[in-house]
Amino acid sequence: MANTNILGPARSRVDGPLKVTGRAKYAVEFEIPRCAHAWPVVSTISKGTITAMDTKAAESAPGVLKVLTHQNAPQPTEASGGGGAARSEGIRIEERNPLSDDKVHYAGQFIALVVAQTLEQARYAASLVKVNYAPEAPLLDMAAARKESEKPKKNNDENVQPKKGDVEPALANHILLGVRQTYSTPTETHNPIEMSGIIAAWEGDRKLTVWNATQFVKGVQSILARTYGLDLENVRVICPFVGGAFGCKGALWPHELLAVMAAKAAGVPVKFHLPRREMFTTTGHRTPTVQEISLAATSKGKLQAIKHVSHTAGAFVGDWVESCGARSSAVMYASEAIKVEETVYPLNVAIPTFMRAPGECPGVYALECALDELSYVLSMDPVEVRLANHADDHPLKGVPFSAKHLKEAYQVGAEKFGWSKRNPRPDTMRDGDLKVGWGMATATYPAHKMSAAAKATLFADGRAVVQCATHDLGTGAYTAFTQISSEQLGVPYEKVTFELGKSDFPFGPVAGGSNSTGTVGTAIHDAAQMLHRALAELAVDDAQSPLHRAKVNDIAMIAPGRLGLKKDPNKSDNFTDILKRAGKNAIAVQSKMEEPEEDKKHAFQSWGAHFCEVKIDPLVPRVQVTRVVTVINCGRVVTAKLARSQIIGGVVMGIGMALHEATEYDPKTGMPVNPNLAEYHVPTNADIPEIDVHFVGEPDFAFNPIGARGIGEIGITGIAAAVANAVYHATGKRIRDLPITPDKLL
Amino acid sequence: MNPFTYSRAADWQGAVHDVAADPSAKFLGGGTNLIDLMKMGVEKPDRLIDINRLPLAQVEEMPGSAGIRIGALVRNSDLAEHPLVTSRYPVLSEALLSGASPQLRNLATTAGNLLQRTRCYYFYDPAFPMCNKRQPGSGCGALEGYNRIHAILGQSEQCIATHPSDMCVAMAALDAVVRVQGPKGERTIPFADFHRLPGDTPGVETNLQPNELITAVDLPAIPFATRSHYLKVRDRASYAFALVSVAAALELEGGNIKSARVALGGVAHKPWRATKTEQALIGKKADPETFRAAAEAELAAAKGYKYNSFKIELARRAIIQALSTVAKMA
Amino acid sequence: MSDEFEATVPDPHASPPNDPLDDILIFGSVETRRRFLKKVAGTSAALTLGPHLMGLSDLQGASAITTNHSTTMVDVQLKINGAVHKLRLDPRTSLLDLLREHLQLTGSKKGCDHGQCGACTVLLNGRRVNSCLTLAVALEGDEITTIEGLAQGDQLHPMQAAFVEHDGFQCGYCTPGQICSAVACVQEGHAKDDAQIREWMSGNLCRCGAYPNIVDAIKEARGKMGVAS
Repeated sequence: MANTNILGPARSRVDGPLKVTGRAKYAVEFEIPRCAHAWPVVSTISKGTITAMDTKAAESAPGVLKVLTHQNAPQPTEASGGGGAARSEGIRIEERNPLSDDKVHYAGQFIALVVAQTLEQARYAASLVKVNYAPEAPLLDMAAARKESEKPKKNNDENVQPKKGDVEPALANHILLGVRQTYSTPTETHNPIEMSGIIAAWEGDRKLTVWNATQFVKGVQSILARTYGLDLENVRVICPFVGGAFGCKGALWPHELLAVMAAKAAGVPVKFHLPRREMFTTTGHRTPTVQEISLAATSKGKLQAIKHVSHTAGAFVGDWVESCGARSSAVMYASEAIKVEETVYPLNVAIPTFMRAPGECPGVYALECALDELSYVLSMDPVEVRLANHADDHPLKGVPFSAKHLKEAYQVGAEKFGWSKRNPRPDTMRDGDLKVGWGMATATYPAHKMSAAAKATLFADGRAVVQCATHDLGTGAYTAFTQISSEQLGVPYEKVTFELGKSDFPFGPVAGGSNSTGTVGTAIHDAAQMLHRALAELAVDDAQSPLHRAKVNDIAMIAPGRLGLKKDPNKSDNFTDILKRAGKNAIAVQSKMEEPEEDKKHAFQSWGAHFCEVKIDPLVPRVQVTRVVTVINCGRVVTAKLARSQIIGGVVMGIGMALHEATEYDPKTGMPVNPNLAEYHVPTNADIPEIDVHFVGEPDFAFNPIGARGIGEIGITGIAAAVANAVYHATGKRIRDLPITPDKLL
Repeated sequence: MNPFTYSRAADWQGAVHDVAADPSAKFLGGGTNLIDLMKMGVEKPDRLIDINRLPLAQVEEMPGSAGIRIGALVRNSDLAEHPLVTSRYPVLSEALLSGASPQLRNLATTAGNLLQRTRCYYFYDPAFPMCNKRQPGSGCGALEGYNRIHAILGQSEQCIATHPSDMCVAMAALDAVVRVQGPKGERTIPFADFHRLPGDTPGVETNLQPNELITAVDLPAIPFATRSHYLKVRDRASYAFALVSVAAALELEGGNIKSARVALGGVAHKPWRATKTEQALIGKKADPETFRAAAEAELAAAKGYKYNSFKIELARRAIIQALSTVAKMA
Repeated sequence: MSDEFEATVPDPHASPPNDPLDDILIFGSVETRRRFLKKVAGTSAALTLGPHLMGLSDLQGASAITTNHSTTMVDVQLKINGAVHKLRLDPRTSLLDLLREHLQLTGSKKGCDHGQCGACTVLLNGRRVNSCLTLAVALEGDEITTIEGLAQGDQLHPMQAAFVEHDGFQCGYCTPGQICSAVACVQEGHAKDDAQIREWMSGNLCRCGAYPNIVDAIKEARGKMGVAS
């Protein structure tokens, strides 16, 4: 049943009580008998060969059960990699299997794993492993890797070098006004507070269970089954809660294989909770970017050309392309000509991966800063510049965006923020001694659709259980899907139980790309349709039913819990009555996995606008964000309270990106110097002001029957630009290299 | 973390005796730095002697003076909010509260904070091969490495690490005296002599002997310290080590500076008492020009590296800002 | 173990002359991001690997070889959430690992293991501390309260209820630490206004970014906790 309200109910999290009492069990918290503990040894060079390893001291240390190295690790039957394209079969970013040979490709690479009875024993024994290397000269920065650089055409199915018209004439036209600037972003690391972790337990040689912190239980199941030649149903992946992920738990990473290998070699279940340091090297990061943006516009602000040339880092253990331009400049504005270039420089640094809005996040940052610069060149208000280039149609596909309400987002945001009181001149607004800056930027993120299936069981007592192997990373999936199940099935919210996080359930895709709500929601919708049909079939055969002998196709849910004739709703029957009269305790259906239909008449994209205020001491210039208003147009918002939290979360992470976050590396060894939460600065509570979130628009039923386009990522897009633009407005200084730390404003 | 034996000291005499008898033994106080370094494999004591139950957790007035005596085991959080500190030495309270987090301050002790070790990346993680502090003769990884958080004053070619404490910066400004007990009895160490510059032996960070136990820190009476302030500049709003910090106190007389106490954090291997700044302030008018000149006086000798040269300008500004703040105090 | 060797490595920065890329702004990288090199070809210093890079890594604990391997277990009695536990412990065991790995009190979370995130926050004699930096054997005679000890049966502590109501979390992983910390924050009298709450809750990182909601939750709970502030 279509729900046409944009805002769903403001429910509290259905899993809230478990989380606030400490009873929610995260992956490594399951109590598994005889479980041993693992601690890693990692490479301290970036490139070379291990010439010798001395594990004797470690092996003889108390409690040690096994020391795995490339010399003795049981190798998986499937060599490596795979799954990159066929996402339903799992995702590998680092394709090299751990301990598969003596080669080192980056600092921090696993070169041994110590398994011991206790954590203390394993950690100590790992410190006793001695390693000799024959090092080679590593490629540690992009400038050094030019010869090895590549311009990839595709990133999976995505054209990463898209083009429309010819940008060069406009860029060379001196009558037009322009901006040509380079923006750079550092390596950023996801750093969910739960470090990745896994417990692997074999039952004989043919059955494997893992409790694993993952965004993709089915993907992990599929890869592990292939890797070890096991039947799919003999690999179970369990993950009822994920302590944050932001992308770093989406692919299968080496530590997961290591734990499985170690459990096999040691003959006991093995728990491997990654140390925080290894979260900076072995589970991916956002690649550093350098982006050159060139804009040409008429004096009225109409864009004639956008050129977006990006340079990003890759690695030698797999492929990663951060599609900065394709996901920002090729989508956001109606420009006569657009050109995007993407070059990847492989480095002997741990491999990057997707991190919250990969591509969009750095790409939108660069473009939205450039547009702000253009607004000063044009002496136009930054909002006006964006309105002048509003794209009703997708600039490359030429089809209209569905349910796009970006203009409304600008308007509501400007109004709530008080934007009209802004003095357009930089370095003019003050609060006492503090410089005050107001900046804004557009947010955008595409609506992704994947495939999923859901199983719905309706009981004669009125309860319903709905299952899908999807995930709750903190996104609110438990609550949103309980809500959607309640609406779609027509069963009261309190009587619905939604279960996820187990590979036993029907397929759920990776919890990435902000796809889950729409994708799994659609599967629930389909399951609900099937359930209603199954009930209708019982009813039409039931002489006692008012629907007896009606045509099944004429029956639909006319009210929650009630089937009736579409044309004569007075003829109706209760779900539970139908079941009871049929003598059934329950009825269960499972929706089919179907490739999502592609609507070629529309483009589906979410939009938003951030307005932010910063205050900066002129003498000791640390930037403090003091106010944010964010307005989002993302179709239907399933659960209002939780969606607001998601947007706030994106904004907070974007403030970190703007002001604090950077993984820095030692120029000699290539090791990260700050792989910890003391010196990799994620925002603290004191860094974050009140964040005022609003939603505008309408449900996007052209996209899916839920009308929702997803909200996990859009919040982080654009906010770093809004902050950087506010810093410029406050100080007159344009910092084009993130993060904007105090030293850059001296 | 290496194996160790654990024992709880019954009294300070026993604790000192036990440590004197075992060169690889260490005292366990709050543990916030020691346990961390043991997990990292930097500290590897064979034996921990837990001194947490010793009766050294009082803050008291010093007999016969307006100074105070701070027990070695007074927790940072208790010290920060102790009325004797907030009323007489606000700079110390502010410094403590700008450090770490409330949880860590509940554990961390006064003596432990004195002995806090540097956050230099190359020291803190033994995966980095070069650190003269950790492994004498191995070289300094920071010198040509990523040295954004490193020293600009008093460093040597052997070591450019900084002292990470906030509390100590305030204590340096306040002319604190460290009281220690050793096998030969009690002695006192003026604060300026407690921490060392790296020189050729960066691994030796203080003049405390391995068999000595800090029992207290004395703060002398400095009546004008009521007019004092701690300014900490860091990358985020809270829970971060200082890029640069300034502890400052001024005694003013008719708009002129009669006495001054200034110390800097985040710039050197030890809490840096800015004596040149102080000298340049005495007798001058308390105005931005004076403050600027006083900052210059100290920083003329500063030397930056590839990634930390900004600290010279940042320190200059921070000194001016801190002194201006103090001058404006009623 | 192989010996050190000296190696002069061919210049990895070398690029063909007149490369058009030389004239545009390049490049960020881990190391040179901040200085966009205009001329990449100019950076042709040969890279010589010193002995420390080469090898031989006694890096990971050479000196530990001589260290005593054996562990003397320690008998302790610890009072956790009102219950007394008689334990024989490896003295290296942190309070956090004791709770999580030995007592199945997995509510206290490990987010860094180094006192940098606050997810492991528990109350020690009513004061908030990082359990990851606390040795369990040192706590005999102390009262330890974890997140599991806050609720009275099914009745949530006002702070827990307020976190649910204000959505003061998303993934929930930092939440037990946030709640223990928040309870102490109110009891300490450090929850007077928004700015004070933010500062005094900054020892608990939340990567999901629930901070504004955490502030709202604390403001609600402080009135219900019966603490004079």
